[in-house]
Amino acid sequence: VNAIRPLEPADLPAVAALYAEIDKNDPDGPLSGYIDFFNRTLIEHPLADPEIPALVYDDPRDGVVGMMGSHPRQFIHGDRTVRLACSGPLIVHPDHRPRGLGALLLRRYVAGPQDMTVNDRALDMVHDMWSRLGGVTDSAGSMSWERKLAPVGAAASAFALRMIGRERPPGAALYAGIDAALGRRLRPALPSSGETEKLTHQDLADVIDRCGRAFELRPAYDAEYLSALFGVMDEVVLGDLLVRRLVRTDDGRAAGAYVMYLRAGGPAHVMQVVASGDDIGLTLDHLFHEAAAAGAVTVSGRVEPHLVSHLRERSCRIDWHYWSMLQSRDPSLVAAVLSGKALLTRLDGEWWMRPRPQGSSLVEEVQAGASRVAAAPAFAMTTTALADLGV
Amino acid sequence: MSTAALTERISDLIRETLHVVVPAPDTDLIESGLIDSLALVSLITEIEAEFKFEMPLDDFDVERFRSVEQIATYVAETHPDGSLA
Repeated sequence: VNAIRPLEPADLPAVAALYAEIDKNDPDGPLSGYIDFFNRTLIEHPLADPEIPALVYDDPRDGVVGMMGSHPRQFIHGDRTVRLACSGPLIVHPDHRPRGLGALLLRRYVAGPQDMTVNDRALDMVHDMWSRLGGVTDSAGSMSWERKLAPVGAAASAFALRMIGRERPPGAALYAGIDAALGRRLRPALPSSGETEKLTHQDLADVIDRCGRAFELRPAYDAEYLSALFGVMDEVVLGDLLVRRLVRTDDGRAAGAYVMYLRAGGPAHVMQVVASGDDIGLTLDHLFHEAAAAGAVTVSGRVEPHLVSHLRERSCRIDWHYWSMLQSRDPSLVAAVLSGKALLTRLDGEWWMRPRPQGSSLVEEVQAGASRVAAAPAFAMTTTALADLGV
Repeated sequence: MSTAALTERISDLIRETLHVVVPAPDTDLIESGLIDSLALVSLITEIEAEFKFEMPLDDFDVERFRSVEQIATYVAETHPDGSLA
């Protein structure tokens, strides 16, 4: 019997229990939400690939004590379709961590048939393991940019995250009032041109198809994939709302698109910005304006080379974040990412994935510019808890 | 290569690669905390390179990596033709 084998549906209760044990926000929460999440993202996902499965470590005595998630993605490299495998989460029962099972799962996973393995949420130790296994660091992707929208609220949010593991601090309305009185100059104005509308799956596929041609490596989206992707993203508790927008110029041309999680009184997390040339600036301006209008205190995202000059013009700060790692037997794929010729964003990674126990469903409820937010989530996985996803 | 020589070579490899001095060939490397996940990956990679073979991916038995003695036995078993010169 092999200790490492593909994840099967019958393993889901054990995997959910394993995840719940390390989820300090809700260690005793119901498991059904976790089971559903892992089933949808790892087994029944339209891009699930039996050749690149999620893996479990099946201990002869204790059963499933470790798991490596797998999220296959279809990308276009030049004129061919390639398979990217986004790894994660990597979880191992605390009692079995000293045996190095996480390392064995990662070793097995990166040796798979995929064209390239990626991860955008590696902690230090996982980063070191990747490096020992021949992986390389995507330095730009290991950094994040941030623009402060409400300095008092941003400071309170950062403090609340550090102290109580929540991005929205108690008394957020008070801080918002202070920022409203003092921080008008920081609030992005409504861009003088263009407008936004809800982004359909076809819109995003079209924008990627058009703008993506500037990149050697780009995602191959279709409506089925995007429907499944956003179906899962809608239920993730990373923000109160998942916002998807198409930006049009005044003459009606589709200029770009953005996807972000919004939280009034807390940060807005950008998952993807797609545009080209001068349209990047216009798209970012609409994004910043919407985030501020909805009450976000900061807006942040992963550093992607094609955005850098536009972010700099908009006074965004750069800082280190989780490690982004790559491994491939094809040097041209790695080179495409490291040279900034890949459209590889958080939307295609594991960064935003947060399973949650059974709770309220969250759907996009705001129109552009509205500030109403949905009910508070059942829980929010934080970076504090993520740090405990030990191996 | 004799078992004793193999044991000594693996001890040297651990010292050179992981900067860990193993007290005795039968010391439990995991129980004693001498190696962790990262060290295990490094050790596997180094042993594969040193002894020119690939360890299995799916049924790698971590229990056989608990001591230098066990590792030496495992490596010797993978080279039954005596090719470890």
